[in-house]
Amino acid sequence: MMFPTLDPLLHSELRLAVMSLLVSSEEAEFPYIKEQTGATAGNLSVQIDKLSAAGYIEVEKIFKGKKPCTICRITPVGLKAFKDYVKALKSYLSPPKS
Amino acid sequence: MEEKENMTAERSLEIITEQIERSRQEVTKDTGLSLYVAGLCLMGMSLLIGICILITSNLAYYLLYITLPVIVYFADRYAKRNKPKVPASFVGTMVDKTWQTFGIFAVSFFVFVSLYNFLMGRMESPEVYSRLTIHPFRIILLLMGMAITINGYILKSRWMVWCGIIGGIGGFVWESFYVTQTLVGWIGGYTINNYCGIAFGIVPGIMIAVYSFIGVTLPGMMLKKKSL
Repeated sequence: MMFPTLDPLLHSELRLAVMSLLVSSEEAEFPYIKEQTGATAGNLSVQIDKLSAAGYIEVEKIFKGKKPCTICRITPVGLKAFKDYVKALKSYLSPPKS
Repeated sequence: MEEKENMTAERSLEIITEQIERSRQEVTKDTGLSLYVAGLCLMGMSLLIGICILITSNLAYYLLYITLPVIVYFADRYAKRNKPKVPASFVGTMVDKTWQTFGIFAVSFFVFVSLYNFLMGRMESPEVYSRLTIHPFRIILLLMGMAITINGYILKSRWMVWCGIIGGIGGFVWESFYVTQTLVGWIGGYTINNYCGIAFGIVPGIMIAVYSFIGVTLPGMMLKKKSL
């Protein structure tokens, strides 16, 4: 029986955690994601860049007063990739009877 | 969280569930804090206005309610200083919107009634005015009861639903039949100078404070402690 391939971009702890976080909310600020995932700023920044380059999330950099603020949002492409990933995971856990 | 790419399917699902659940709890706590702060502001304001009217017998102090949205906004910002902004959730948004709707209707109605009463007081004789005057408190209690009931349904809290229904309708009936004024008349202990302050100041102030505690502060405390 053939198992579907898991998206390598999502099959990583931190990137998956970021995507899961963004799926349940419209948008999230960088410090919030950092606090929730417990990742270091540098590592999180690298993973966010990878997700952004793939078009899974969009990153907006704004200023709140004088402080810079990074906002991340999941895109429709990212949402579809996440759904496909979960679907593929389910088939691994309960493979269809052939 | 480390950067691991050799995860099992179980671990992947665990991360997704864990992260969604953690985010939900964080959002619920944040909504709870907002409700708690708004409730405390409303309680404080209603008691302050009640005391001011009790001391001065000047009903114009009711206009201080108009400043409440600004006070709640700044108090909320102060309570959440040094905390990263939490994204909105469906439950949080529904609770916020319910109270926003209540605020819009209550403040609009209150401003209209105040202007109407002011104009009628100027244009009509005291006998006609006493019949034409509108007491806004009963409608505001009804609206508040409605908001509490809707929040009870959203937060799946049966006691809150019943508090809203009983409080809203009970408060409306209470005010429509002038129970406060009648009770103050029966109990006595007032003079012609402080009757207005007691019947239209401190008693409604205490009633609004109790309603705000049940409808806003208490649900806020519940949400802050445990996520639904």
